[in-house]
Parts: sequence; structure tokens; C-alpha cells
Amino acid sequence: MRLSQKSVAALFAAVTIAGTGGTIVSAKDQNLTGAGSTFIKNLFDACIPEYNDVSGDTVSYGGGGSGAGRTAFINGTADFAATEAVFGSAEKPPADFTYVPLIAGPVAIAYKNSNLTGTLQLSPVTIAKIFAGQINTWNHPEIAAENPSITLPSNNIVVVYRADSSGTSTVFAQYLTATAASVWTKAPSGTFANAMPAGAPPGSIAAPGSDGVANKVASTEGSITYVELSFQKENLGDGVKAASVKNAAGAYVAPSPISAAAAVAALPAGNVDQNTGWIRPDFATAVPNAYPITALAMGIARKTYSAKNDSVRDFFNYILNTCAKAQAPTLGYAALTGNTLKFAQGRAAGISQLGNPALTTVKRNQTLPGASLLNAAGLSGVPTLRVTKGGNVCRVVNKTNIGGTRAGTCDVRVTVGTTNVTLKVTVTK
Amino acid sequence: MTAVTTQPSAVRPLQPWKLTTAQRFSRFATVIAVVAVAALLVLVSPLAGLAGIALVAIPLQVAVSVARSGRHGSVAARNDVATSLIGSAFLILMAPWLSILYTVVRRGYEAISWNFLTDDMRVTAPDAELGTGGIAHAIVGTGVMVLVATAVSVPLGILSGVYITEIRGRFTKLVRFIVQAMSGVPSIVAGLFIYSTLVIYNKSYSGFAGALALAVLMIPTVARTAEEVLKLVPEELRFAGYALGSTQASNVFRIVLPTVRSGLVTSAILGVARVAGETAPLLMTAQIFLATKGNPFDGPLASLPIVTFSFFQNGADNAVTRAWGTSMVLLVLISLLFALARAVSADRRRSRR
Amino acid sequence: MSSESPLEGTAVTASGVGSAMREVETGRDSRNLLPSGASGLETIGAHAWFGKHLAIEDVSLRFPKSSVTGLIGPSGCGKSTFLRLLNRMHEFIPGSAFAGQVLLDGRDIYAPEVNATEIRLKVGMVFQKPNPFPSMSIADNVLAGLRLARIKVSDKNMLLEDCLVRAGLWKEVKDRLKASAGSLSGGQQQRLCIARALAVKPEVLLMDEPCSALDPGSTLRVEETIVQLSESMTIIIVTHNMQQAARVSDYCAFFLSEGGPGRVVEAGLTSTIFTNPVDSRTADYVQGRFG
Repeated sequence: MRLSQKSVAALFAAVTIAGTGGTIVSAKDQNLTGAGSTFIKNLFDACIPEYNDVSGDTVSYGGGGSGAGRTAFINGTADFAATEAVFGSAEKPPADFTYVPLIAGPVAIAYKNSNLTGTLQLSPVTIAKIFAGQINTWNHPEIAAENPSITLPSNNIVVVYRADSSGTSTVFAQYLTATAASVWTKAPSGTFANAMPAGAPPGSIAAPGSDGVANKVASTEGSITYVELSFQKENLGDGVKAASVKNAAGAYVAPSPISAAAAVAALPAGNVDQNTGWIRPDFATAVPNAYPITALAMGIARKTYSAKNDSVRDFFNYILNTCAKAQAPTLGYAALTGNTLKFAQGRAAGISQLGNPALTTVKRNQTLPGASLLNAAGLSGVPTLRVTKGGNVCRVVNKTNIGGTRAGTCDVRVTVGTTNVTLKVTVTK
Repeated sequence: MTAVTTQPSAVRPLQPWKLTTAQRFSRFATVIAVVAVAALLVLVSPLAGLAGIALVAIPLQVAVSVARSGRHGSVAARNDVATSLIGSAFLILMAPWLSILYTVVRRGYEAISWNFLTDDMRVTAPDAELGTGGIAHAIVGTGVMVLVATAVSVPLGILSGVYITEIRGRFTKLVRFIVQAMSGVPSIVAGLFIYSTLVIYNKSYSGFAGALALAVLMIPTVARTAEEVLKLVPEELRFAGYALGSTQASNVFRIVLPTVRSGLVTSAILGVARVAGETAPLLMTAQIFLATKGNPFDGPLASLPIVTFSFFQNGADNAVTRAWGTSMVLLVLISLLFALARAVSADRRRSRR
Repeated sequence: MSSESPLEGTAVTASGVGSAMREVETGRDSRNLLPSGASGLETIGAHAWFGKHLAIEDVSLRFPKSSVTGLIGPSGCGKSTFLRLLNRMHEFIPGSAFAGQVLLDGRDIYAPEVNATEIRLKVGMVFQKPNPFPSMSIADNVLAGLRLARIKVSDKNMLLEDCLVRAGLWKEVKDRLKASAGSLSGGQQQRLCIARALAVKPEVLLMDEPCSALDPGSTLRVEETIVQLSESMTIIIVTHNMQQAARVSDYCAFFLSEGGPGRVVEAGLTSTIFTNPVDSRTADYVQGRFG
């Protein structure tokens, strides 16, 4: 079993190295420490051993929650972090940090009702009314209007929600705020009870943890909750089903890795922060086959070069290009695809670039592309290059590249607009 | 006067103060009968579960005791009732402990294999097949951190005990007060303290930081036990040393401390057992590391409680079984330590004879 | 204060001179003085306090070398306190205080420059209750003093045997020197403590009721030991047992408190104290009429 796992991982790694830009540069025996989101922990749990195996690095992920991860990253105790919430205004991350979107995951509306055959279809407003306690029977007219083809039983709806503070609760509350503002009048919160407009509905049940709410629904007839897809699937045998949710395109979509991936594959430009790399999920997605309640977990890493950061880049690349694709379906996540994946790859490529010696070293009689110097300088745009020191060591070629003439070092000034950075370029024999 | 001698073979050693086998059997049978009746009552009444059985069985047993011994007078009856009550209290105390033990073993035994003790999780996912991977990293990590914590806290703890009992300096009351206050420090605060100093300063979690957090929790246990043990050293021994021309230092190190050596070993073991299962301080100081590593200064280090926690968080069946297996290993290790402490102190009592 | 006794050298026959001088100094009568041997141990106007409580008042005694002096008197009269003054064990009791002089070979052991541990090395002590070190073997117990005071000895085995022989314990323990000291009987333990005290070669040995916890057989053996030891050292023994005092001591000092601090009522040759005491209280006590 373990052998096959290894070989599968190695195969993926080989494919990765041959196929895309996300390569594992070398076995560096780096020890990486990560902390943060528990939402992404199961993916990391699956991917980290694989990555350790193929890379020679040892990555350890401590979890602890998004906030703890951001704090650990700011304090420098974690080499990378994962979060579903953006740095707060009081938090002071290092200037060279970048977000890297890593994985998406659908939050299922899971319910159990033995007398309800077929798949329930719900619109955002109906979902909001159920969780706010305004709709409290299964055969309520508003539910019936959305489900003309199935017979609805008349029993009461039991709302089950997370007792503990959770990223899933935050995302679900954000979704309800974004799509059913008229019903869901309270601000999102990690503690769901604080986000419910009229407090917890009568008869509702709070349970701790994703497995807690899923098990509670499995054992409670007529109950409904929100939970990561994988937990709904684990309890499918006990009659826990997932509702299809109406998206902004008007389609009822069942939660699945594919429909969630569709929701984050092509995000509106307004949801993407080019500066930091942050992406907001698009709850109002108009993609017809997209599942709207989809959460995004972001990695946090540093752009400054270090051997560890090189490994962080390799690890993120491994997640994006190899592991997520292989593991997401079984774990109930949605691997990033399309433009979002491209964007994420671009952000990952920026990790460990500032001052990276590999980007400022060139062999004699060869040329160093200006793009490398741009990355090493942490700039973007069209650069103007000028050799300020060591003119006999290197020279500007075609205005955009640097050519090495003899072994030694020279200073190259990279200017974009009004900003300029001077880099030391090494020419080797 | 003539000595009366009896043939050795004619006399059998007796223990007339003990119950005969028949009496003991009848008492045992009574208890079984009482519990059975209680169980039956619980079945036909709204009472439920073990608590219900206990609720019925204990008064019933007391009543039986009164009935049984009443004819021997009220003293005998009172004695029997007290025996019943103490026996019940013992069982009630044992129940949660046994239930914990049973649950841990029942849910964790599947995870236990040779591999589980010798391999680590560096290249194995928490939900992988149970035969693969292991918790060697956690066993080694806990071992290393506990060793370092012991090396730091035992000398400090014993020295503070020596200061309080032997030197009795001007700060005796202050030292004792601080030790007592320290023993009330919640473990999370100890972790936070090391986090906000050492971890932030080094910009890295480390096994050493974890060990120091554990040491903060260990020192009061060791110091207070050491103080109690040192108090047991009779004054005469100290005077005997002084009367031989000993200085205070050699008196303490050559007479007082060796006299209670086993007691001090016990204090160290109790301190270790106190901290070996600590989770909260390690979350913030040692974090987790998936490979087996013995160097406490080189970044994060795994430990049994943290690895257990991490397995539980994963939620997959195999990961949860691994979590129980890890708890089982931790439980066994701590039980062994306590057994060792008992053995060492028993040894001391024997050598006193 | 001169560290040289003015009486040094003349002390052998200086009883009269000494008493005259003492009378000038303290105003006490000469019965407080024992006949002097060659130098030895001497107290001049010793007072001891526990907190505010004055326990002994103005005791001036001289203990000749190679003699046994018995300190007798009813309980609570300050004998043990006085004994502990002689090797500076008194100061371990919190709140204790002292006034006067204790001269060992003419040197004041309470002088500021004197190290108490050095004094205790020269003035050994055997306690009322046997107190061997339980963590050590019999042999280690005997040699403990050497290790504690960091004294180097060329032949430890010889010293070990010598001390145990002199304490009258050798025959009983020679085959189990490595056994724990706790395995000995009470009387054996007490003789072990004596052997332990002998190992550091003290000039003076203080014994605080050494036989009070022992059976008659053990007592007899300890007494024999005391008599033998007195050939080579000064022994001061506190005892409640009049017969014992009569058996082992050359000199006796009778302490009495009479409600106030303990004082020496009478001191002198044991034979005199027991047969022809000057003070009627002494006569009453030694004949068992009170106490």
C-alpha cells in the first residue's frame, strides 16, 4: 500500500516536472513549519507525506486555525501559513508576503429526512430562512415551490450548526450575507450563533466540529446543517444527503469537487487582488455549473529568497499542480483550475524570488534575461537596465538582457518607471 | 520454670483475624446478588445505566450489611456498613478510570504494531493503512523534551527544596510562596510565556522551548515533593554531620540528599508524569514535526499529545484509530513511570528497615 | 582577648591558682572548678540563652586531658545545653545566644576568627539517640567524617578497623562492613556512632546520655568503650544514671536549675561527689532523694 502510494506520488512528480513550471528543484532536506487553517488541514495531511517523500524536505503542518497561522507567520515561527481570512488591519505581516490560492472546497447543505425522496433544491433565500428559523417545516410553501417534483413530508426542520468557531461557519455566513441580505441581516462570524439574525432557532442543535454536526444530522430525523462535502459523503450511508443550491445563473447545482472548481475557475477581476494575491470566493457566480457556497483557502509565503522559501515554493507548487488534483475528489475539496490556477501558479512562482542568487547568476558568454532580474528585484513592468559597476564583467544586451563577458561581479541597476533596484550580478566561468 | 515445647508438626499457622474462605465467598455472592437485583430493578424502572445500578445497589448493600451483622450487635453492623460504603466508594472511583482505560485500549489497539512504535509519519498520511507509518517521532520527541525538562527542573526543584528546608535563608517564605504560586500556573500560560519569550525571540518553535515550558510546570511539583521529602530527614542526622566537622554544603550534598535519594527520584518521576501528557504548552512552543528527530534545538519537535491531537483533527477513521493508539502509548508510558515511582519509593521503605 | 590561656603550662598543679584567679574574675567559689590536667577543655563564665530564656548561668569548668567527666543533675538543668556549647552545636538552635569563654587548649572557640567546623572536628559528639547515616554502609558511616571534612587518610581499612575495635563493635560487624547501618541493633548503632566520632581523631568526645536508649548489655559495652577511650582523649558524658557516672567518670559536675537558669552546684572527683559532697543538695541528688 505504502509502496504504491509512493510510486503514485513519484509518478505525479515526474509528470509535474516534465509538464508544468511547478518543479521540485532539488532535494534540500529543509524542515518547514506551517500553521493555520484547519479547513485545509486534511489536504495537507494527505499531501505533506507525499511531498516529503519526493522532495527530501520535511514539512510539518500544525493547524491551529487561520488566525493562529497568520500570527505564527508574522512572528516568523511558521515558514508558511494557510488562512481563509485576510490579514486584519491590526496585523503587520512582513512586507514581502504573498497570498497563494491553494484549494477550494464546497460547503454542502446536508440534511436527513427519510420520507424525502429525490434531491432537495434550495435557493439562497430559502436556505437563509431555514437557518434563521423563519421556515421550520419541510413542506413549507417556499420549499415546495422550489421542489415541485418531490413530495415533501410535514415534519419539523431541526437546524444543526457548529458550536465552535470555524472557518466553515464564516464562509457560510458570508455566503448568506452576500446572497440573501434581506433575510440574513447579521454580520458574518466564525461563531455561527453570533451570526444568526434572531439567535439560534427554537429546537436547533449546536455541535462541535465538522464531524460533530455531520454525526448529529445522521442521528436526527428532519435535521439540516452546513458542512464540508467530505463529511456529508461519509454519512451518506446514514441517509445524510446534500441539497442542490441555486446559483446566480438560476441553476440548481449539487455540491461536488467539479462544481466547486467551476465556481472558482474564473473569478471576476474585482475578486482578485493583484497586489497581494488575495482572492474572494464569488458567491454570486454566474457560471451555470458552479456550486456557489465554495470556500477558498490561501497559503501565505514570503517572496524573499531563502533555502526554506525555495522549499515553500516547491511545496505550494506540489499542492497546486500535483497533489490537489489527485486528492481533492476523495477528500471533498476542489482543485483549482482555469485562470484561478494560473493566477495561483503565478503567485507561487513569486515565492523566494527577491534576491535569489539563481536569478542573478550567469555564465560567461551567456545572457541573463531581464525577466529574471525583474523577479529578483521584486519589480514588474518593462525594465531599463544599466551596468553601474564592473563594466568589464557584464554588459547590457539588446537593452533587455545582461550578458556576461568574464568571471566576476558587476552591479546592475534595474529601473521600472521611477523605482530602481541595484542588483549584484555574478558571472561564472 | 519449665519451657513448654510443642511439636512443630502439631501446630499450624493460623490467621484467626481473617475471614474464612466460606465467609469471603458468601460476602462476594451477596455483592453479586445485590448488583444483580439492582440491575433487574433498573431494567423494569425508569432508572437507567450504570449510575442507576449504583444508585440502587449501594443502599441495598448497606441494608444487607445491617441485616447480616445486626445480630452481632450495633458495632458489628456499623463496621459492616462502613465496609460496604468504602467498597462502593472504591468501585465508584475505579469506574471512570477503568472506563478510560477500556475505551483507550478498545479503540486504539488496532493501531498498535511494531511499525507503529518504530516508524514516523514523514511520508505517511494520517489516514493511510494502519500497518504503515508510526509515532516514533512523537515518542522520541516526548522523550527528548521530558529529558531536557527534567535536566532543567530537577536540579532547580531540589535546590529550592534544599533552600527551604536546609538553608532556611531570609527568602524561605518568598521561595515557598513562589513555588506554590507556580504550581497554580495553568499550563497554557506556561506555554504562552515561553512562546512570547524564547519562541518569538528565536523566530522558531523548538523542542527546547517545549522542554522549558514543561520545566516551568515541573519545577513546582519537583520542588514541593523534594521539600516534603527533605523534611523527613531527621534533625539528628544533620547534627551528626555537623558534629563530625562537616560544613553545611557537604552536610547537604553528602548526608541529607543521599539519605532521601529515592525520595528525590520519586519527586522527579512525579514531575515527569505531571508534564508528559501536557498538550497546551507544546502547541505554542514545540508544535509538530513529522520526522523522527532527537535534536531539541533544531526547529519544531513532535510529542505524543500533539500528535494525538493532530490525528483527531484529521477525522478519518484510520487517523482517529491512530490517535487512540497514540493515547494508549502515552497512557502506558505514564503508567510505567508511576509504577517506577512506586517501586523506587517501596525500595526506600525496605532499605530503611 | 588573648588566645593563649594565662594558665597554660602551670595548669597541671594550678588548681589553687586557677581558682583564685577565677574567684577574682567571676566571684564564684572554687567548687565550680575541676582539678586540671594537661591543658584540655575549659569554660569560663559560660552563659547560654534560648531566646530570652537564660538556660545556664556562669558555668566555669575545667576538663583535664585523658579523663572522663560526668555531668549529672535532674532533667532540664542545662547539662545537654552546656555540652552543646562545647563544640558549638548550641548555635544551631534558632534564637540561641551565648556569653563567656570556652577554651580548647587555651584558645577561645568562640573567637571570631575560629571556624566552627574545625572545632567540631576536634570536639566530637555522640548523641542520645543513635543516628547512623541510613544511606551509608557500616564502613562508610565510620569513614563519613573523613569525607565530610575532606581529610585524607593513607590506610582507610586500618583506620576503619581501629575505630570499630575501639568502639567495641569490630567483632560483631567485621563480616558485614558493606551492610546498611540501618541493619544494626540500637546498641550496635550507638557504638557505630562512637566509632564514627573516633575516626576523625577528636581531642574531646562529648556524649549526651549515650546509653539512655540501650539495653543493659549494650550499656555495659559502651561503658567499657568509654573507659578504654579515656586513655587517649578527654570525655565528657551527660548521664542520668548515677551508677554509670560512678562507674565511668573520674570527675563529676552536678548541675541544678532550681526554677531559674542551670548552674553548677558542685564539681570534683567522682569519689568525693558521691561519698562526701560539700553541698547538701548534691548529697540529696546522688543518693536519690530527689531528681
